[in-house]
Amino acid sequence: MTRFLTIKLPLFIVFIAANILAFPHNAYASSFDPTRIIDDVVFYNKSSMSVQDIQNFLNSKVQVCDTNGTKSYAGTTRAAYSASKGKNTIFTCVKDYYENPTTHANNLNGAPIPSGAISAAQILYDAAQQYNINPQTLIVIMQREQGLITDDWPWVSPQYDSAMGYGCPDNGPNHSIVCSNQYFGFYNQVSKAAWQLQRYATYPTEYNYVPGSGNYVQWSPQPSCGGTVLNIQNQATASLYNYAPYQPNAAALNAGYGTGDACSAYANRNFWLYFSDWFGSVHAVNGNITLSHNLTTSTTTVTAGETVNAWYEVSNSASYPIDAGGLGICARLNGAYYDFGFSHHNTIPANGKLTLSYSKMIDNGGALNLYVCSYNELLGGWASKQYPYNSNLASIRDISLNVQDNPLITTSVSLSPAAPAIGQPVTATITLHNSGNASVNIGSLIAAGRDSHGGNVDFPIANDVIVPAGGDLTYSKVRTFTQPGTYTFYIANWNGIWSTAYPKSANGSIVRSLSAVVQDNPLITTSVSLSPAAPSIGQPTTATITLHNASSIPINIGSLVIAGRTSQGGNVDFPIQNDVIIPAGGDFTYSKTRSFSQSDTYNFFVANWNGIWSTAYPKSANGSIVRSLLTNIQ
Amino acid sequence: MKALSSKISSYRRRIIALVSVVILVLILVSASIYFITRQPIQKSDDVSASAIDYGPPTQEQIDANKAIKQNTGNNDKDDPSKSSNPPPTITIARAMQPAAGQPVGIRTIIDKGSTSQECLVTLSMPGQAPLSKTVAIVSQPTYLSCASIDIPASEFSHSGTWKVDAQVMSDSLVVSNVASTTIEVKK
Repeated sequence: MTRFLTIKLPLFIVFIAANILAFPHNAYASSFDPTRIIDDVVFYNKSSMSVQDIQNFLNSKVQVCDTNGTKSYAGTTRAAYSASKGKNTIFTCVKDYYENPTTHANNLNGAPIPSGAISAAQILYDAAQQYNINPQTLIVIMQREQGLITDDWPWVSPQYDSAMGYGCPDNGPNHSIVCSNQYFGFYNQVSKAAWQLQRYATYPTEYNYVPGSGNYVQWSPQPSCGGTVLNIQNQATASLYNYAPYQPNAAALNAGYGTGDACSAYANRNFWLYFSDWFGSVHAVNGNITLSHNLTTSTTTVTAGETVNAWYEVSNSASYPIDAGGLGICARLNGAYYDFGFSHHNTIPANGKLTLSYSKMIDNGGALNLYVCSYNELLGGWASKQYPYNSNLASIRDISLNVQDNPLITTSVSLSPAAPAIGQPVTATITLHNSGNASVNIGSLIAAGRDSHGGNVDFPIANDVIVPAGGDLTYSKVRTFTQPGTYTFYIANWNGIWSTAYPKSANGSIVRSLSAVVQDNPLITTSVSLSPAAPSIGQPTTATITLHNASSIPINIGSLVIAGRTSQGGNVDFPIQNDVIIPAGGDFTYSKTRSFSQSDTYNFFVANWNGIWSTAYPKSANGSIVRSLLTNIQ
Repeated sequence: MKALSSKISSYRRRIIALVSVVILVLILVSASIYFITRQPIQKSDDVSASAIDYGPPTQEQIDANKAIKQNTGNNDKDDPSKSSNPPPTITIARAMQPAAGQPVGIRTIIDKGSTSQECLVTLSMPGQAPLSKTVAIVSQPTYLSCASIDIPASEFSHSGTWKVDAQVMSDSLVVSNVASTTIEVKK
């Protein structure tokens, strides 16, 4: 027992304590997943940093650059050590680096900043934007390959010349790295690396490693160390292995940033470590949920009235089901809410797919914008722009369609006759065409009319106007007018609200509103005349006048007379005609005879009795009509 | 004697009880620390944190690349083909046919060698004429490989299991190991 207390118990306590201390480290290393080193959505997020963010980051990692190499190293100064290795002795840190992208002139070795040069931060940013790579990805690769981000006395060769390790195969003696001068230069290195990373995603099958099973990844450049077959879960991880084809072994993972064993490789371990420490998690919320089929519509040419089907597919690459949250297809028509559909909880089975499909009849023309929409509490709410995550660089998550208006008005509003008379039947006509593949009910249609005072003189309304698929509909309504005047007629539609803009015109020459003059009726169409024109005393004389009724019904204008007056005002009227009825669409001719007994100058004129005497009604059909005349009778 | 024996027995019981309590406490403490330290790390895997670290680098982050200056000499542009070098080793990284009727792809890694050499890949099946492809060695960003080999399914005389052999050739001589694997080919 004493032996237990003095030896075994302390050893046991030390063992437990060692395990306690070891937990954080082991847990840290165990988070590295060789099949999913980083999520695509993080790896390809080109918008993670601005140029200023990158510059600030570079500044933070080298706060003071040892430009002249005065600090000690290996028993001497850095400058002296560098000189002994044949290296530059004036150091330019990456935060201070500038290069002209065209001439590649730069400010290394103490040179001034060349004309047209841009900063390292700008070079990193530009490459990220051009090739859709997260600038953080480029920064971390630069650090793991050459340590350039943290180095306060970097060498031109190999650190700037091969900043991204591009063109540096490890096929030298003892797997040493031999860099090709073909790719030398900071700008070249960054551009080529970003280009290469994008190309892996664009042409994945051309390269060694692809998402899926059957990828044999070695532990190190030494083949005898072996490796494992990995089921790579995403393109970003495949791309990392295509760039540096080794996975860290347990010794490498357990060493943190340190050295493992003879079979350890560090590129992808260090990528993961630097990325996690500097930029946060390599995984996105629901990072397994990706857009595996682009948003697609059943048609690219849409006519109002047609039904559009839209769909996309979401995949879950995890080996467990995931509630992907709210997913749908949202839309805006001419900027207004026009969503197709949305469902709140979408559980996608392990390694499974879910198709989101919605249809909607587009009832108006204009700009229709559809987009994948999503809502996820873990992402802070609406996350349509980035979630579900793009599965490749060419993902399409929004579509814009120009919806042609339909139906369209194909003939101008017209009246027949164009210049109607009071009481005359008038037909208003409008023709619409439906070019869609389904009939369209536009609601109610009317040729509305207003008099000069705004009074309503609408034509009859047509309700439930259905324009057949691929066919025409003609609105044709008849009415008469009781008052002469100038009227305005226009097309109006009721479909919940009144609109004078819908349906739209097929072209710019379509007349949607017009003015028409409704004429008096009946009208005197021939002048007052006497026969004989110069009668003698006692001679029978016939007075004639003709009226025309343009309306569809007979008109009783009361009494009509050709009144006569002597020069002294004496009454010499022709016989009165009572109950003058002018037939529909016909003429009435007043023709009365009498004789005169005195020589005088007589005045003859048209007069009408219809409750009151009027010499102005009926009106003349035109200005040449003579309504009164002076005649000398001898 | 009996009293002494009883005293020892009582002492033992107390020691055992004490040790048991200590062990229990240690287990509980270690378990607690384990979960406290483990859970945030696991959680961080599930959260897309966009927290950029603008602090100075840690010493271990700086030291991770110290070998660059230590290993770099005046000979860092040496031509490996002029150095005495063990023969290259070729490894088959992937041999697969995505679906029936599609080309069979062979992808490799070569640990040493140069782009002046070639790869010979042979596919064989007992009783069938072998298929051979010779391609150049190409430089990937940080390693060498054989150029991609994609053999149309129509070139295979039969469906079934084919053996894949890959080797590095120099002046028509085999200068490497022979890497082998098998692949199920569906025409």
